[in-house]
Amino acid sequence: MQQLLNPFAQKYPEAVDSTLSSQGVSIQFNPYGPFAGHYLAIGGSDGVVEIWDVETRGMIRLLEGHVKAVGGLSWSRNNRYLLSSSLDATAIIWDLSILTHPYLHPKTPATLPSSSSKASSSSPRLQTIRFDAPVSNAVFHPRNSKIVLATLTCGEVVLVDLRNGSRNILEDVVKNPDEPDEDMERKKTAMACATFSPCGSRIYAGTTNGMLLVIDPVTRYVLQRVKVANSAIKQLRFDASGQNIITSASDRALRLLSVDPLTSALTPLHRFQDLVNRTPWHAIGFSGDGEYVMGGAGHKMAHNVFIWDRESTVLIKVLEGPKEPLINCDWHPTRPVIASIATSGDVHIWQTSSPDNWAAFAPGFEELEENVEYDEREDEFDIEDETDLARRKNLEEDIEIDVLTLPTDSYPLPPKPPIHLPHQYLTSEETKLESDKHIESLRKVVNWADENPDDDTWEGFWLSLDLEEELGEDEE
Amino acid sequence: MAIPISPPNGINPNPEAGPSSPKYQLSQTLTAHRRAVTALRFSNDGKTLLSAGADGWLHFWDPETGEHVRGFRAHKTGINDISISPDSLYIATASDDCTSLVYYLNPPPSTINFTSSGNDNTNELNEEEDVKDDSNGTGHTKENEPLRILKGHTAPVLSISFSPKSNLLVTGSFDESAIIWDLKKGKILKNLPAHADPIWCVNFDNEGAMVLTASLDGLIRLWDVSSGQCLKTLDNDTNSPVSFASFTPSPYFLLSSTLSSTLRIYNIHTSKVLKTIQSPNLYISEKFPCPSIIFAKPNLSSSSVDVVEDGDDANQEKMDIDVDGKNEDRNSKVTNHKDKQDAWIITGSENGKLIIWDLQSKSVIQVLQSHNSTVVAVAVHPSGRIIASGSLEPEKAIKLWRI
Repeated sequence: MQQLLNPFAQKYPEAVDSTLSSQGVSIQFNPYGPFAGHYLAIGGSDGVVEIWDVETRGMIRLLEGHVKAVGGLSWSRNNRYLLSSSLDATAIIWDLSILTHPYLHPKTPATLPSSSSKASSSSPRLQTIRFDAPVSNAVFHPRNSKIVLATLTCGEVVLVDLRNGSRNILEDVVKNPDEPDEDMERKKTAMACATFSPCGSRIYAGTTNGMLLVIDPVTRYVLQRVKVANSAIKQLRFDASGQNIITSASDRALRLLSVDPLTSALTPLHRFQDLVNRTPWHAIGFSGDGEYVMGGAGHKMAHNVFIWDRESTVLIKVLEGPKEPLINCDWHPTRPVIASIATSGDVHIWQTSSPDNWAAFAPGFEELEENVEYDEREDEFDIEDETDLARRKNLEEDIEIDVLTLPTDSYPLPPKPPIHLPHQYLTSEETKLESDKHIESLRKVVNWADENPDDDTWEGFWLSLDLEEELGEDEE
Repeated sequence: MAIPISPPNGINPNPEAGPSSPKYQLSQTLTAHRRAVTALRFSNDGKTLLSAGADGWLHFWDPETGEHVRGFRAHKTGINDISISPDSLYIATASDDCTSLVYYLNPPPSTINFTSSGNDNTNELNEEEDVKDDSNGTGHTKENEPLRILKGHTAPVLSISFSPKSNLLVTGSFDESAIIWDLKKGKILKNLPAHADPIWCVNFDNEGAMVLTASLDGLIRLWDVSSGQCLKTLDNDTNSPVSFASFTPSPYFLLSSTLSSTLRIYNIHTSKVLKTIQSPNLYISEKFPCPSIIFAKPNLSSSSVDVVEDGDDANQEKMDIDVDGKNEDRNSKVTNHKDKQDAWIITGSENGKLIIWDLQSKSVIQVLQSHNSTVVAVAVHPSGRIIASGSLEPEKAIKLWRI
């Protein structure tokens, strides 16, 4: 499919294509799998979580459970579970394979009895996690939805392991290499945001004093500590490959850093700023291919999304929308589509316009920019003997083709942790030892995360419809 | 129960495919339709065989026993095609009355609890439902009321297909257009002004990103579902009307049948024909479209057909089966690595035969013979172990074949 699309088509959106009427404050496309970007989860200011079908622009699920605004959303690795976190101090895990209709049981690999123990349940609300303070954001571990990382508004980051019920508040603690029993330093730091790296091997947390911490999720020791800004880091987003981070700080600057997948060493690359208006940023992100950086501007009177080229750091487009200010936005994982929320709660979908490709309507036609002299092939008008033709065709058709195997690389999947040594680290003995240490630690994290896995094992998961369910949509 | 048939030695033109490879045997003949059997489908969970007829009836069968489960008259006019949603929840029809209807595959038992709300819902969506209800009494009970009525075509609907995520439907019609429907809203999402002649076949690819339309005008067009744009057009060297086309499980190829008794495998990207399959005198398709189906050679290593036997293995296999043709699962990846499966193609012929070819070598594997009128409906069970075929009048019978 991707190959049939115009390779030179514009890779960032142009204009608002449609508007979804909602009460949203947070949005998230499902990032992985064959149906990546087919669903848009919207967390409402009234506590309702909605799931919209991006193809039909229609709401397909309404999840009620929170009583205050839902500010954080996270899809599990294969989209079966959705984690919503709210200012009501709870996070809820929803099982999207379950329809609210008590007698409708979709029959897909996700709902086979062997893979699901909760098949008889008729409530999509799988688990509610309660916290001591309002939750500003919560994310699943990319490899196991039984591990949840929650950021609370009181400045705490809590790692919740639902497999053994453990909860750990992350602290800025560095392991003392000499005396392993004693911690070298223990600082009281308030953390403003935290997330897992896309491969799930590290936790990245931003503090209120501008530090970016890299934390090992198993030992919970800080591995790296980088001063990024002089003010609080409000937001932190990875690109799909996990090799770039964008941070948003309260000094109104966005900072782009590159991440070494093995050592998690951070290198600051660039600082994006709106020098004229000194715009604060309400949302940040990368395009699906990581080529562009997106900043949702917090203007009071305008709805703007800034798009920069990541490589050249040039501002290439400012999307200008309706009057109501923007509060959040997310970039589609595979297509040049952005969803943004206005203060009214409406969600705008930005797209490229697609001009008709007339050449596609006739076989063998090609659209040209200018006149080209046609060179006929040597044998173009030769008349071939019929038996020869048949024999030649038969020979040509003798090739092996595999019509049954599905390709596995055609859709986005989370990156894998570098637990096998990349070549560039094999230069000298010293670096080899060093990287062996990193790999060992990464392996431990992977083993920890993969232990006691969740039921979200089917990569092709999608949401079934309940045609009798009323979702309270306006009848147009 | 099984009706023995004479061994196919006499008619097998490819003896080297030989006695070693197992053969499908006729196991049952099912009769219920009063006119031609026009379409057959197995549900993805393998638990239901659905048949549709020119008499407007839908019949539900148990594929294991061949038992008739239920049936009702969905349309007053003939049904041309049916589709079952990949999650085995819903079915959709394509009818001569220019509409398509969506029903439950297995109506929930508590329709009483849901009738009030359900009724309001459908009435709101479509007021014409009352008219339809009054005029249609045959075999119609409350539970057989359509969930959605799709009105948009101006001529008989010839083909219908669910998207892989069950959220869209595509229909192809005699009115030369194809429509992509939003199933939840029951409304038109995209209208594809597709061809210069009736569209006989429509299908989605495995990712639900593309739709194909195949027409009497000899062309197959590929469309981008999200933008409604035409992506590509494929023709055939004889300009024969295309009676059927579908994407293969691998997204790089598609299969077509034309009314010149020819099957072709195309490479979608280069538009090149990679395989041309013909079997003169054996396979005849010149007037009536019949689907052709690519399926993996059934795995008979556990020689017993009984699925109940060893629980674990059977379950594992079911996983693979359900996933096959949709999306890949870790299990099937493993099996694919272990041994590459042979791809078989089956289609029906106007001489009442069904022919199975090996796709790679283009040689005939088996000829199934027992219908005495044109075969226009074929379905292969997700396990590959059961084949259902249906024929036109005067025979109008469904036959089940097992391996």
